Amino acid sequence: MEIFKKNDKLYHIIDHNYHLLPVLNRFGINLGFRDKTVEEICLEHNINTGFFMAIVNTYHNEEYFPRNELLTFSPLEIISYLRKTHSYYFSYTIPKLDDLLNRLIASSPSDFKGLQMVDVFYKKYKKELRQHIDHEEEKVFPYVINLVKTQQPDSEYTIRNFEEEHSNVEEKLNDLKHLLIKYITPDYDENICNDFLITLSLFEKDLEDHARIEDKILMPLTIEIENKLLK
Amino acid sequence: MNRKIFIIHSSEIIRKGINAILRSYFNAEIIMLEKTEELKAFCELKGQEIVIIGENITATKINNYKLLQTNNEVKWIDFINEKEDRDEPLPFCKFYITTQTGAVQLQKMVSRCLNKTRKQTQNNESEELSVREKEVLKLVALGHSNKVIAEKLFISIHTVISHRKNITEKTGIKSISGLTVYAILNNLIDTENINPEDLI
Repeated sequence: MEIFKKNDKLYHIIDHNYHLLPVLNRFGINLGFRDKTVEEICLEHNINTGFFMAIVNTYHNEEYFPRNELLTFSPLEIISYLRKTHSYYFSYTIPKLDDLLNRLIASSPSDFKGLQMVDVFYKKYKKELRQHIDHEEEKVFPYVINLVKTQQPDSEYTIRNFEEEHSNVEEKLNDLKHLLIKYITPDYDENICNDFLITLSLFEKDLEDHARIEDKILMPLTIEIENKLLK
Repeated sequence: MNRKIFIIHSSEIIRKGINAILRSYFNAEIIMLEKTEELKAFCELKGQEIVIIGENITATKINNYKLLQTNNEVKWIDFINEKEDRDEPLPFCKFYITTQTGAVQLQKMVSRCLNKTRKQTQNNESEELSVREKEVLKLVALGHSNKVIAEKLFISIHTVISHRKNITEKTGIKSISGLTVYAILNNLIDTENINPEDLI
């Protein structure tokens, strides 16, 4: 494991960890960047290099968490990134999981109860995730944006009113993985199942990273702003 | 318990060299850092066995990482650059090394740092649930609260909670709906009369 630096070539970073590809897209960076360094590319795209590096490094290594540095970024910057990850989940990851699970069930010749149960479980999970993300998009983010822009404390709410646990959403995803890997004996297409599990695992990791940025950066940052305004 | 080895040295060839020596030998994540300050980003770590091989460790340097040391089992190995004069390693470092130290020696040192705290966390028990646990699981899946389960089985709430903890440890499943799917798959619930979709 290494910590990437702004002088590293972006190619080198992606070569090291191709799971970072969607992260690049969230920043509006496209491929074909030749031998340019991170700093050069960020300059071109008008991206805060420090913020980009922090996101890339925390994503690359779940133990890396430069709290003090992350707390210097603007909540608006963070929200814009989080919103892009939300839309990535619903425009890409979830439809892909839907499709794979449907194909998986279709590949099973018998009317096997196990996969049907998994399907029910997955659908309930998806509903909860949708609610959770809607809550953030409709309540939490607008509240924070308003706070930053007006520099006026809200008369009714503080960010603590909106706080919601992430653990539930993550727990279920992990359970889904456990159920498939440990308790369901295949009579289905193995390759489709592998695809499903790999997509699921990547999604799980992405969500964890996402939750960490929300709970440990956006929350404390907002609380700090509130405290300052209320003084 | 998870294990981590930090290699902190300003020289890239030394970092990568030590990494190459330790990588194949230990089942631990190895993290290479250029400066001691970069360790700050890892202050959130908890409950891990950590070996830190650092360049010219000093008491002040170590004092910056109290949180890391309180929440984890940390052992320091001091890398002494030859040119600098120091007669003895610092008292809080378990070992010290120089460029003269051999690969096998280093492996032995790290292995002694890790072995002392090694615990058998892996329980070899089978994941098969006991009769009582199955009864509890069934009632959990049917949507009963701990209190109701305790009353039905004539046990204390405390015992119900402890059974539930064991069930989750054995199956690896945490959520109630996940446990319900498990119960249905293992025929603990009669799905003839109940629509499973209502339960999950």
